[in-house]
Amino acid sequence: MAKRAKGPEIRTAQPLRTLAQRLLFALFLGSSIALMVLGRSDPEAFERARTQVTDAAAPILETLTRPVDALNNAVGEARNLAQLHQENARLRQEVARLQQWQAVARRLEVENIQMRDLLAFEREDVKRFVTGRVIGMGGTFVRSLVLNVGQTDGAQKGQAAVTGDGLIGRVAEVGQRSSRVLLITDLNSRVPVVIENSRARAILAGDNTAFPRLIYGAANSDLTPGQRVVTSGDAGAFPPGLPVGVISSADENGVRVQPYATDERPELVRLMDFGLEGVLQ
Amino acid sequence: MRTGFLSRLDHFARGLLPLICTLSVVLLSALPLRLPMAAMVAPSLTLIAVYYWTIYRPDLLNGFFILLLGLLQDLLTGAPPGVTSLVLLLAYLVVVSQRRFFHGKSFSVVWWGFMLVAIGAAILAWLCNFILSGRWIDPTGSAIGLLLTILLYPPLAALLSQAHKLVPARDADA
Repeated sequence: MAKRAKGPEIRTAQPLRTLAQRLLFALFLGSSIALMVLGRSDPEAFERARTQVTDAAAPILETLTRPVDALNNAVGEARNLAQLHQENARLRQEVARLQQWQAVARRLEVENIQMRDLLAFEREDVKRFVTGRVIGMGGTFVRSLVLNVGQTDGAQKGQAAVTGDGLIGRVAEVGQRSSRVLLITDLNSRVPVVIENSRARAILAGDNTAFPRLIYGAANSDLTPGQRVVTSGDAGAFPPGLPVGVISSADENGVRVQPYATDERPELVRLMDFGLEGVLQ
Repeated sequence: MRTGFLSRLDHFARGLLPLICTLSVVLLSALPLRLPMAAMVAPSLTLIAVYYWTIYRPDLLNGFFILLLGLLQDLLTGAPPGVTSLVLLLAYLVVVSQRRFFHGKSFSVVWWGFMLVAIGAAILAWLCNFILSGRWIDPTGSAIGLLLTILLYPPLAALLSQAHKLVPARDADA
Protein backbone atom coordinates (compact mmCIF):
# COMPACT_ATOMS: atom_id res chain seq x y z
CA MET A 1 0.00 0.00 0.00
CA ALA A 2 2.73 2.38 0.96
CA LYS A 3 5.24 1.21 -1.54
CA ARG A 4 4.70 4.00 -4.04
CA ALA A 5 5.66 6.59 -1.47
CA LYS A 6 9.05 5.06 -0.85
CA GLY A 7 12.14 6.56 -2.36
CA PRO A 8 13.57 10.00 -2.94
CA GLU A 9 10.40 11.92 -2.25
CA ILE A 10 10.67 11.10 1.44
CA ARG A 11 13.42 13.66 1.73
CA THR A 12 11.21 16.42 0.42
CA ALA A 13 8.28 15.25 2.50
CA GLN A 14 8.89 17.12 5.70
CA PRO A 15 5.68 19.06 6.16
CA LEU A 16 6.78 20.54 9.46
CA ARG A 17 10.32 21.27 8.40
CA THR A 18 10.64 25.01 8.41
CA LEU A 19 10.16 27.36 11.30
CA ALA A 20 7.30 29.18 9.56
CA GLN A 21 5.45 25.94 9.11
CA ARG A 22 5.95 25.05 12.72
CA LEU A 23 4.67 28.42 13.84
CA LEU A 24 1.69 28.06 11.55
CA PHE A 25 0.92 24.65 12.99
CA ALA A 26 1.21 26.02 16.52
CA LEU A 27 -1.28 28.67 15.47
CA PHE A 28 -3.73 25.98 14.35
CA LEU A 29 -3.28 24.10 17.62
CA GLY A 30 -3.82 27.32 19.54
CA SER A 31 -6.95 28.03 17.48
CA SER A 32 -8.47 24.69 18.39
CA ILE A 33 -7.85 25.37 22.07
CA ALA A 34 -9.27 28.88 21.65
CA LEU A 35 -12.35 27.32 20.07
CA MET A 36 -12.78 25.08 23.10
CA VAL A 37 -12.49 28.00 25.49
CA LEU A 38 -14.84 30.13 23.39
CA GLY A 39 -17.33 27.31 23.10
CA ARG A 40 -17.36 27.11 26.88
CA SER A 41 -17.61 30.86 27.54
CA ASP A 42 -19.93 31.83 24.70
CA PRO A 43 -22.07 28.80 23.87
CA GLU A 44 -24.67 30.92 22.09
CA ALA A 45 -22.32 32.00 19.32
CA PHE A 46 -21.57 28.36 18.62
CA GLU A 47 -25.21 27.45 18.81
CA ARG A 48 -25.82 29.77 15.89
CA ALA A 49 -22.84 28.41 13.98
CA ARG A 50 -23.99 24.88 14.69
CA THR A 51 -27.51 25.62 13.48
CA GLN A 52 -26.18 27.17 10.29
CA VAL A 53 -23.77 24.34 9.56
CA THR A 54 -26.43 21.73 10.29
CA ASP A 55 -28.92 23.59 8.13
CA ALA A 56 -26.45 23.72 5.26
CA ALA A 57 -25.57 20.06 5.62
CA ALA A 58 -29.16 18.90 6.09
CA PRO A 59 -29.91 18.23 2.39
CA ILE A 60 -26.67 16.25 2.03
CA LEU A 61 -27.28 14.29 5.20
CA GLU A 62 -30.87 13.63 4.21
CA THR A 63 -29.82 12.25 0.84
CA LEU A 64 -27.16 10.07 2.43
CA THR A 65 -29.57 8.85 5.10
CA ARG A 66 -31.99 7.31 2.59
CA PRO A 67 -29.80 4.39 1.52
CA VAL A 68 -28.67 3.92 5.12
CA ASP A 69 -32.29 3.69 6.25
CA ALA A 70 -33.09 1.31 3.39
CA LEU A 71 -30.18 -0.91 4.42
CA ASN A 72 -31.23 -0.81 8.06
CA ASN A 73 -34.75 -1.79 7.06
CA ALA A 74 -33.54 -4.64 4.89
CA VAL A 75 -31.50 -6.05 7.76
CA GLY A 76 -34.49 -5.67 10.08
CA GLU A 77 -36.77 -7.43 7.56
CA ALA A 78 -34.40 -10.34 7.21
CA ARG A 79 -34.24 -10.69 10.96
CA ASN A 80 -38.03 -10.56 11.20
CA LEU A 81 -38.47 -13.26 8.55
CA ALA A 82 -36.36 -15.62 10.59
CA GLN A 83 -38.54 -15.16 13.65
CA LEU A 84 -41.89 -14.93 11.91
CA HIS A 85 -43.42 -17.97 13.53
CA GLN A 86 -42.58 -17.06 17.12
CA GLU A 87 -43.50 -13.47 16.49
CA ASN A 88 -46.93 -14.51 15.23
CA ALA A 89 -47.66 -16.52 18.34
CA ARG A 90 -46.48 -13.68 20.56
CA LEU A 91 -48.57 -11.14 18.70
CA ARG A 92 -51.72 -13.30 18.98
CA GLN A 93 -51.29 -13.38 22.72
CA GLU A 94 -50.71 -9.65 22.80
CA VAL A 95 -53.78 -8.95 20.70
CA ALA A 96 -55.87 -10.97 23.14
CA ARG A 97 -54.42 -9.04 26.04
CA LEU A 98 -54.82 -5.66 24.36
CA GLN A 99 -58.43 -6.40 23.45
CA GLN A 100 -59.16 -6.59 27.15
CA TRP A 101 -57.38 -3.28 27.59
CA GLN A 102 -59.33 -1.79 24.75
CA ALA A 103 -62.56 -2.73 26.47
CA VAL A 104 -61.31 -1.08 29.64
CA ALA A 105 -60.18 2.02 27.71
CA ARG A 106 -63.54 2.35 25.97
CA ARG A 107 -65.37 2.13 29.26
CA LEU A 108 -63.04 4.72 30.80
CA GLU A 109 -63.36 7.02 27.81
CA VAL A 110 -67.13 7.04 28.10
CA GLU A 111 -66.82 7.63 31.82
CA ASN A 112 -64.30 10.41 31.18
CA ILE A 113 -66.57 12.15 28.70
CA GLN A 114 -69.45 11.97 31.11
CA MET A 115 -67.36 13.41 33.93
CA ARG A 116 -65.92 16.15 31.74
CA ASP A 117 -69.43 17.11 30.78
CA LEU A 118 -70.22 17.34 34.46
CA LEU A 119 -67.21 19.59 35.08
CA ALA A 120 -67.45 21.60 31.88
CA PHE A 121 -63.73 20.77 31.56
CA GLU A 122 -61.82 21.84 28.48
CA ARG A 123 -58.61 20.06 27.71
CA GLU A 124 -55.87 22.19 26.23
CA ASP A 125 -53.42 19.64 25.12
CA VAL A 126 -51.52 18.78 22.03
CA LYS A 127 -51.92 21.47 19.43
CA ARG A 128 -50.09 19.68 16.69
CA PHE A 129 -47.37 17.23 15.85
CA VAL A 130 -44.39 17.63 13.58
CA THR A 131 -42.80 14.43 12.36
CA GLY A 132 -39.15 14.53 11.37
CA ARG A 133 -36.79 12.08 9.77
CA VAL A 134 -33.55 11.46 11.65
CA ILE A 135 -30.69 12.56 9.41
CA GLY A 136 -27.84 12.89 11.86
CA MET A 137 -26.63 12.00 15.30
CA GLY A 138 -24.14 12.96 17.97
CA GLY A 139 -20.86 11.30 18.85
CA THR A 140 -19.40 9.49 21.82
CA PHE A 141 -19.84 12.47 24.12
CA VAL A 142 -23.11 13.84 22.77
CA ARG A 143 -26.45 12.08 22.67
CA SER A 144 -28.37 14.01 20.07
CA LEU A 145 -30.27 13.56 16.84
CA VAL A 146 -30.58 15.87 13.86
CA LEU A 147 -34.04 15.99 12.28
CA ASN A 148 -34.94 17.24 8.81
CA VAL A 149 -37.62 19.59 10.13
CA GLY A 150 -36.97 23.18 11.15
CA GLN A 151 -38.73 26.44 11.83
CA THR A 152 -40.53 26.39 8.50
CA ASP A 153 -42.09 23.03 9.42
CA GLY A 154 -43.16 24.19 12.87
CA ALA A 155 -40.32 22.83 14.99
CA GLN A 156 -39.58 24.99 18.01
CA LYS A 157 -37.03 25.02 20.75
CA GLY A 158 -38.24 23.20 23.84
CA GLN A 159 -40.70 20.87 22.13
CA ALA A 160 -40.87 17.33 23.46
CA ALA A 161 -39.52 14.71 21.07
CA VAL A 162 -41.21 11.32 21.27
CA THR A 163 -41.18 8.01 19.47
CA GLY A 164 -43.94 5.44 19.66
CA ASP A 165 -42.44 4.17 22.91
CA GLY A 166 -42.20 7.38 24.87
CA LEU A 167 -40.18 10.52 25.48
CA ILE A 168 -36.82 10.50 23.73
CA GLY A 169 -35.62 14.08 24.25
CA ARG A 170 -36.34 17.72 23.62
CA VAL A 171 -35.57 20.15 20.82
CA ALA A 172 -32.41 22.04 21.75
CA GLU A 173 -31.64 23.96 18.57
CA VAL A 174 -33.76 24.88 15.59
CA GLY A 175 -32.64 26.03 12.17
CA GLN A 176 -34.61 26.81 9.04
CA ARG A 177 -34.85 23.23 7.85
CA SER A 178 -33.18 21.18 10.55
CA SER A 179 -33.36 20.82 14.29
CA ARG A 180 -31.30 19.11 16.96
CA VAL A 181 -32.89 16.94 19.61
CA LEU A 182 -31.01 16.50 22.88
CA LEU A 183 -31.72 12.95 24.05
CA ILE A 184 -32.71 12.27 27.65
CA THR A 185 -29.55 10.18 28.01
CA ASP A 186 -27.26 13.15 27.19
CA LEU A 187 -24.98 14.57 29.84
CA ASN A 188 -26.77 17.92 29.71
CA SER A 189 -30.33 16.61 29.74
CA ARG A 190 -32.53 17.36 32.79
CA VAL A 191 -36.19 16.37 32.72
CA PRO A 192 -38.61 16.97 35.61
CA VAL A 193 -40.37 13.64 36.20
CA VAL A 194 -42.75 12.04 38.62
CA ILE A 195 -43.10 8.42 39.76
CA GLU A 196 -46.49 7.42 38.45
CA ASN A 197 -47.94 5.58 41.43
CA SER A 198 -46.32 7.39 44.34
CA ARG A 199 -46.35 10.86 42.71
CA ALA A 200 -42.81 11.41 44.07
CA ARG A 201 -41.04 14.10 42.07
CA ALA A 202 -37.47 13.97 40.82
CA ILE A 203 -35.21 15.10 38.00
CA LEU A 204 -34.12 12.64 35.35
CA ALA A 205 -30.49 13.44 34.63
CA GLY A 206 -28.67 11.94 31.65
CA ASP A 207 -25.03 10.91 32.00
CA ASN A 208 -24.28 9.53 28.52
CA THR A 209 -25.11 5.98 29.62
CA ALA A 210 -28.21 4.14 28.43
CA PHE A 211 -29.71 4.45 31.92
CA PRO A 212 -30.22 8.05 33.09
CA ARG A 213 -30.27 8.73 36.82
CA LEU A 214 -32.99 10.08 39.05
CA ILE A 215 -31.68 12.95 41.16
CA TYR A 216 -33.05 15.41 43.69
CA GLY A 217 -35.82 12.98 44.62
CA ALA A 218 -37.33 13.14 48.10
CA ALA A 219 -35.20 10.98 50.37
CA ASN A 220 -38.07 9.01 51.86
CA SER A 221 -39.86 8.24 48.63
CA ASP A 222 -39.74 4.50 48.21
CA LEU A 223 -38.32 3.85 44.81
CA THR A 224 -38.35 0.26 43.62
CA PRO A 225 -37.43 -1.23 40.27
CA GLY A 226 -40.37 -1.53 37.92
CA GLN A 227 -42.10 1.71 38.87
CA ARG A 228 -43.21 3.80 35.91
CA VAL A 229 -41.67 7.24 35.42
CA VAL A 230 -43.54 9.95 33.52
CA THR A 231 -42.93 13.65 32.90
CA SER A 232 -44.21 15.87 35.69
CA GLY A 233 -44.79 19.00 33.65
CA ASP A 234 -42.90 21.08 36.23
CA ALA A 235 -41.22 24.19 34.86
CA GLY A 236 -43.51 23.99 31.85
CA ALA A 237 -40.85 22.31 29.79
CA PHE A 238 -42.87 19.23 28.98
CA PRO A 239 -46.54 18.36 29.15
CA PRO A 240 -47.29 16.19 32.20
CA GLY A 241 -47.79 12.45 31.89
CA LEU A 242 -45.56 11.61 28.91
CA PRO A 243 -44.19 8.09 29.45
CA VAL A 244 -40.43 8.20 30.07
CA GLY A 245 -39.39 4.78 31.40
CA VAL A 246 -39.31 2.39 34.33
CA ILE A 247 -36.95 2.34 37.29
CA SER A 248 -34.36 -0.30 36.47
CA SER A 249 -32.30 -0.22 39.65
CA ALA A 250 -32.49 1.52 42.99
CA ASP A 251 -29.67 1.05 45.49
CA GLU A 252 -27.02 3.02 47.34
CA ASN A 253 -25.40 3.88 44.00
CA GLY A 254 -28.46 5.83 43.00
CA VAL A 255 -31.62 5.24 41.08
CA ARG A 256 -31.48 4.52 37.37
CA VAL A 257 -34.22 4.53 34.79
CA GLN A 258 -34.60 2.35 31.73
CA PRO A 259 -36.20 4.62 29.11
CA TYR A 260 -39.11 3.22 27.10
CA ALA A 261 -37.54 4.61 23.96
CA THR A 262 -34.50 2.32 23.95
CA ASP A 263 -33.76 2.87 20.28
CA GLU A 264 -31.49 5.90 20.26
CA ARG A 265 -31.42 5.94 16.49
CA PRO A 266 -35.03 5.83 15.40
CA GLU A 267 -35.91 6.58 11.80
CA LEU A 268 -38.71 9.01 12.62
CA VAL A 269 -39.28 11.25 15.63
CA ARG A 270 -42.39 13.22 16.49
CA LEU A 271 -42.14 16.69 17.98
CA MET A 272 -45.12 17.59 20.11
CA ASP A 273 -46.21 21.18 20.31
CA PHE A 274 -48.22 21.63 23.46
CA GLY A 275 -48.23 25.35 23.19
CA LEU A 276 -46.60 25.62 26.62
CA GLU A 277 -44.56 28.69 27.30
CA GLY A 278 -41.89 26.86 29.22
CA VAL A 279 -38.56 28.09 30.46
CA LEU A 280 -36.83 26.47 27.54
CA GLN A 281 -38.61 28.44 24.87
CA MET B 1 -3.73 23.87 -24.69
CA ARG B 2 -7.10 22.36 -23.98
CA THR B 3 -5.71 19.01 -23.08
CA GLY B 4 -3.04 20.73 -21.03
CA PHE B 5 -5.68 22.57 -19.05
CA LEU B 6 -7.79 19.43 -18.63
CA SER B 7 -4.87 17.37 -17.45
CA ARG B 8 -3.90 20.09 -15.00
CA LEU B 9 -7.48 20.19 -13.76
CA ASP B 10 -7.46 16.42 -13.48
CA HIS B 11 -4.18 16.57 -11.61
CA PHE B 12 -5.54 19.23 -9.26
CA ALA B 13 -8.74 17.28 -8.61
CA ARG B 14 -6.82 14.13 -7.80
CA GLY B 15 -4.68 16.12 -5.41
CA LEU B 16 -7.87 17.06 -3.59
CA LEU B 17 -8.79 13.41 -3.03
CA PRO B 18 -7.34 13.13 0.50
CA LEU B 19 -9.33 16.19 1.52
CA ILE B 20 -12.51 14.91 -0.15
CA CYS B 21 -12.11 11.47 1.43
CA THR B 22 -11.69 12.99 4.88
CA LEU B 23 -14.64 15.31 4.36
CA SER B 24 -16.81 12.34 3.32
CA VAL B 25 -15.74 10.48 6.43
CA VAL B 26 -16.70 13.49 8.58
CA LEU B 27 -20.18 13.46 7.00
CA LEU B 28 -20.37 9.69 7.36
CA SER B 29 -19.66 9.91 11.08
CA ALA B 30 -22.63 12.26 11.51
CA LEU B 31 -25.03 9.83 9.79
CA PRO B 32 -27.40 7.76 11.93
CA LEU B 33 -25.82 4.39 11.19
CA ARG B 34 -27.14 1.40 13.06
CA LEU B 35 -24.03 -0.49 13.94
CA PRO B 36 -24.30 -3.18 16.59
CA MET B 37 -24.38 -1.57 20.06
CA ALA B 38 -25.27 1.50 18.08
CA ALA B 39 -26.43 3.87 20.73
CA MET B 40 -23.45 4.27 23.00
CA VAL B 41 -20.45 4.18 20.69
CA ALA B 42 -19.23 6.22 17.80
CA PRO B 43 -16.02 5.06 16.15
CA SER B 44 -13.66 7.88 15.25
CA LEU B 45 -13.60 7.33 11.50
CA THR B 46 -12.11 10.76 10.91
CA LEU B 47 -9.04 9.78 12.92
CA ILE B 48 -8.54 6.80 10.58
CA ALA B 49 -8.64 9.04 7.51
CA VAL B 50 -6.33 11.64 9.04
CA TYR B 51 -3.86 8.97 10.16
CA TYR B 52 -3.84 7.32 6.76
CA TRP B 53 -3.24 10.50 4.78
CA THR B 54 -0.75 11.85 7.28
CA ILE B 55 1.43 8.80 6.83
CA TYR B 56 1.27 8.69 3.05
CA ARG B 57 0.49 12.23 1.89
CA PRO B 58 0.78 14.82 4.67
CA ASP B 59 1.38 17.49 2.02
CA LEU B 60 -2.19 17.11 0.76
CA LEU B 61 -3.93 17.33 4.11
CA ASN B 62 -2.40 20.17 6.09
CA GLY B 63 -3.08 21.52 9.55
CA PHE B 64 -5.52 24.17 8.40
CA PHE B 65 -7.80 21.64 6.73
CA ILE B 66 -7.62 19.38 9.77
CA LEU B 67 -8.62 22.29 12.01
CA LEU B 68 -11.62 23.02 9.75
CA LEU B 69 -12.66 19.39 9.34
CA GLY B 70 -12.51 18.82 13.09
CA LEU B 71 -14.61 21.91 13.71
CA LEU B 72 -17.12 20.81 11.07
CA GLN B 73 -17.47 17.44 12.75
CA ASP B 74 -17.97 19.05 16.17
CA LEU B 75 -20.61 21.39 14.81
CA LEU B 76 -22.41 18.60 12.95
CA THR B 77 -22.49 16.20 15.87
CA GLY B 78 -23.22 18.90 18.45
CA ALA B 79 -20.04 18.20 20.42
CA PRO B 80 -18.11 20.95 22.24
CA PRO B 81 -16.34 22.85 19.43
CA GLY B 82 -12.58 22.51 19.08
CA VAL B 83 -12.10 19.13 20.76
CA THR B 84 -11.99 17.07 17.57
CA SER B 85 -9.74 19.68 15.92
CA LEU B 86 -7.28 19.52 18.81
CA VAL B 87 -7.27 15.72 18.90
CA LEU B 88 -6.79 15.42 15.13
CA LEU B 89 -4.07 18.11 15.02
CA LEU B 90 -2.10 16.44 17.80
CA ALA B 91 -2.49 13.07 16.09
CA TYR B 92 -1.22 14.68 12.88
CA LEU B 93 1.75 16.13 14.74
CA VAL B 94 2.67 12.80 16.30
CA VAL B 95 2.28 10.86 13.07
CA VAL B 96 4.19 13.40 10.96
CA SER B 97 7.14 13.18 13.32
CA GLN B 98 7.11 9.38 13.13
CA ARG B 99 5.96 8.79 9.59
CA ARG B 100 9.33 7.83 8.20
CA PHE B 101 9.26 4.90 10.57
CA PHE B 102 6.03 3.64 8.99
CA HIS B 103 7.18 3.86 5.39
CA GLY B 104 7.69 0.51 3.77
CA LYS B 105 6.58 -1.25 6.92
CA SER B 106 4.02 -4.03 6.78
CA PHE B 107 0.36 -3.28 7.26
CA SER B 108 0.34 -4.74 10.76
CA VAL B 109 3.02 -2.27 11.88
CA VAL B 110 1.00 0.63 10.51
CA TRP B 111 -2.10 -0.75 12.22
CA TRP B 112 -0.19 -1.12 15.47
CA GLY B 113 0.91 2.51 15.16
CA PHE B 114 -2.69 3.49 14.59
CA MET B 115 -3.71 1.62 17.73
CA LEU B 116 -1.30 3.71 19.82
CA VAL B 117 -2.48 6.96 18.21
CA ALA B 118 -6.14 5.97 18.66
CA ILE B 119 -5.63 5.17 22.34
CA GLY B 120 -3.97 8.55 22.90
CA ALA B 121 -6.72 10.31 20.92
CA ALA B 122 -9.49 8.58 22.87
CA ILE B 123 -7.94 9.51 26.21
CA LEU B 124 -7.41 13.10 25.12
CA ALA B 125 -10.97 13.42 23.78
CA TRP B 126 -12.37 11.99 27.00
CA LEU B 127 -10.22 14.33 29.08
CA CYS B 128 -11.26 17.41 27.08
CA ASN B 129 -14.93 16.53 27.39
CA PHE B 130 -14.52 15.82 31.08
CA ILE B 131 -12.87 19.19 31.67
CA LEU B 132 -15.30 21.11 29.46
CA SER B 133 -18.44 19.56 30.94
CA GLY B 134 -17.12 19.56 34.51
CA ARG B 135 -18.89 16.25 35.10
CA TRP B 136 -17.74 12.67 35.28
CA ILE B 137 -18.30 10.85 32.01
CA ASP B 138 -18.59 7.09 31.95
CA PRO B 139 -15.52 6.02 29.95
CA THR B 140 -17.13 2.73 28.79
CA GLY B 141 -18.55 4.40 25.68
CA SER B 142 -15.13 5.83 24.80
CA ALA B 143 -13.45 2.47 25.36
CA ILE B 144 -15.87 0.58 23.10
CA GLY B 145 -15.69 3.37 20.54
CA LEU B 146 -11.89 3.08 20.62
CA LEU B 147 -12.05 -0.68 20.09
CA LEU B 148 -14.42 -0.20 17.18
CA THR B 149 -12.15 2.49 15.71
CA ILE B 150 -9.16 0.14 15.83
CA LEU B 151 -11.16 -2.70 14.30
CA LEU B 152 -12.52 -0.48 11.54
CA TYR B 153 -9.04 0.68 10.51
CA PRO B 154 -8.26 -2.21 8.10
CA PRO B 155 -11.46 -1.97 6.01
CA LEU B 156 -11.43 1.82 5.86
CA ALA B 157 -7.69 1.92 5.11
CA ALA B 158 -8.32 -0.54 2.27
CA LEU B 159 -10.91 1.85 0.83
CA LEU B 160 -8.60 4.83 1.27
CA SER B 161 -5.75 2.99 -0.44
CA GLN B 162 -8.00 2.66 -3.50
CA ALA B 163 -8.38 6.43 -3.51
CA HIS B 164 -4.63 6.72 -2.86
CA LYS B 165 -3.93 5.03 -6.21
CA LEU B 166 -5.60 7.94 -7.97
CA VAL B 167 -3.61 10.61 -6.14
CA PRO B 168 -0.73 11.88 -8.27
CA ALA B 169 2.72 11.08 -6.93
CA ARG B 170 4.50 13.90 -5.18
CA ASP B 171 7.21 14.06 -7.87
CA ALA B 172 4.67 15.11 -10.44
CA ASP B 173 4.06 18.37 -8.58
CA ALA B 174 6.54 21.17 -8.96
